[in-house]
Amino acid sequence: MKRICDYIIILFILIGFTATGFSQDMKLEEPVLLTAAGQSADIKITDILLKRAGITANVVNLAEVKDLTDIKTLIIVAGGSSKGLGAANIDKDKELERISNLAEAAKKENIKTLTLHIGGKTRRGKLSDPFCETAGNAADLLIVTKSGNEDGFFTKIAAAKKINIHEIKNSPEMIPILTGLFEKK
Amino acid sequence: MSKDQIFRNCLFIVLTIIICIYSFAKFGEMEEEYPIYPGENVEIVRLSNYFDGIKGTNADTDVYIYGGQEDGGSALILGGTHPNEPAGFITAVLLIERLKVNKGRVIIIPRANNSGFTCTDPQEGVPQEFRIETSDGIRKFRHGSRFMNILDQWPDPEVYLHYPSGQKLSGNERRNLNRSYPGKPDGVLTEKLAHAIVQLINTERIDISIDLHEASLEYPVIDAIVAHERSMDVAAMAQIDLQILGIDYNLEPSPVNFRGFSHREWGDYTETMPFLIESANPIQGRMRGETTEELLLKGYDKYYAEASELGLLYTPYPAEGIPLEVRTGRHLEAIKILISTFSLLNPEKEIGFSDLPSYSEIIENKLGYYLKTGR
Ligand SMILES: [Zn+2]
Repeated sequence: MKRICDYIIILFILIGFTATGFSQDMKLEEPVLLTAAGQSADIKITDILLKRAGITANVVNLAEVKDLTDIKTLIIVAGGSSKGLGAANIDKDKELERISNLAEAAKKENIKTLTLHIGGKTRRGKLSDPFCETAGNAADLLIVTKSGNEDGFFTKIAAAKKINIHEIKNSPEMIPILTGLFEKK
Repeated sequence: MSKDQIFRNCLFIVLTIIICIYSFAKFGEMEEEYPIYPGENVEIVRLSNYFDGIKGTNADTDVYIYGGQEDGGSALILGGTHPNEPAGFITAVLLIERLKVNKGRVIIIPRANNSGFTCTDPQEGVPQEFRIETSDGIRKFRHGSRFMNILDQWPDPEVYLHYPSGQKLSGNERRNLNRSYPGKPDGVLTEKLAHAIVQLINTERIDISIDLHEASLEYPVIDAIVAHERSMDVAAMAQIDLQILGIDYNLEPSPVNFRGFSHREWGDYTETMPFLIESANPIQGRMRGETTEELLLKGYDKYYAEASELGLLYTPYPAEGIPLEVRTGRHLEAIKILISTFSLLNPEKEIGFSDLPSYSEIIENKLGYYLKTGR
């Protein structure tokens, strides 16, 4: 009987671990560079959420490789905005190229990349998906809202890359995850 | 000409006259303005008080000023910039009929494009009015045109050159209030109207201004708050708080190179912090089917449901549609949270208000419950 109990306990622990994914997450460190793939204003929302989690980030909408100096974590907020791209005066292809270069350089420098998608359905589709794909493939860890991952787009990327993914209901749910990742109290 | 032919010709002429009389009467009806019933402690002035260039024209419109006992900041809320976007208009009406301000001031213009309420857009087949049931009878509201009535500003040029940027837009956009800011005192009527609103913002030292809109579901900027650079911090904080309430908004920056918009020019030509809010309205879209009052009110269209299943829309389209209650409730919550976030960050310019229903209350009790009965 005791043995069965042990098995059940172990089973529960295992289920617990896979469901939350927390235990398998890497730890992230400051300084942080925050950039947007697709120039959506979700970067502004992320900046505020990071602050609420006690993390200060260097926010550079159009960050280049040189901005990675001394950086330990790169955070990319994925999702296209036609208004944002217009405001930044950059076209889709140039923006994709910028993100690829940045991600590649980060990998070379052993900088961890966290990719976020918090814009839901509006930040998916024809304009956004190339940014989501490029930023997703660059990630060491993904945090996405459920409404933007209804088709499992990010889950598939995470599975293919064998990286962790956190699916959250809304962007403020990211705060406790961030405090955990950055070991903030 | 045979007797038969004469009879047919006469019949044709008589029918034409009947159709003309009927449509003349129908068009004429649009001139009638349905009343709004303001709450207490309101001062009602005309927009021409701020710029007399629109005095005596169809662009002049009522401005409702609610002032609190205590000093504080000032907010401006614009409904009816596009009179074919009913949630913006009805939210402004609801504010006028319910709002109590105890600190600072809230100024509301429900029919910003007053002229646009006197016609509908040609070939759209939209209803000229919609009805909302209140606790004591039915109230009617106008549904109008995106543009100023062509009878008030004619003719349209081939190309509209925005003043002062020189940006080129198609000719009819010269009658679009939200492409005409900052306006021009000696320009066409729409430019004069835009100028009058900018004058009001400057004269009244408006700290935060919110322009209420709706858009079709296939438009990429939807369910959105569009913010000027100066408004971005407030907008981002408000977006997070709205999410916590379960109301999802996309945050969009106002592009510097798109001229004539309220969210751009109010920010560039005045000291105010501008915001533009969009809700999702199926009656405005090209994919819609039967264009009826029911579609306007309930927001359910089977073709949009199908489009949603095919993944062609930028916003979730729930099976029950997007009723006017949902769109108005979203607008109201966004207004409340934007103003309170602004007040939090600028305590010396706090704006205090009460008596507005919540999103869930509007959904539960329906809009008519919160509007005056009109008796
Ligand atoms: Zn509009």
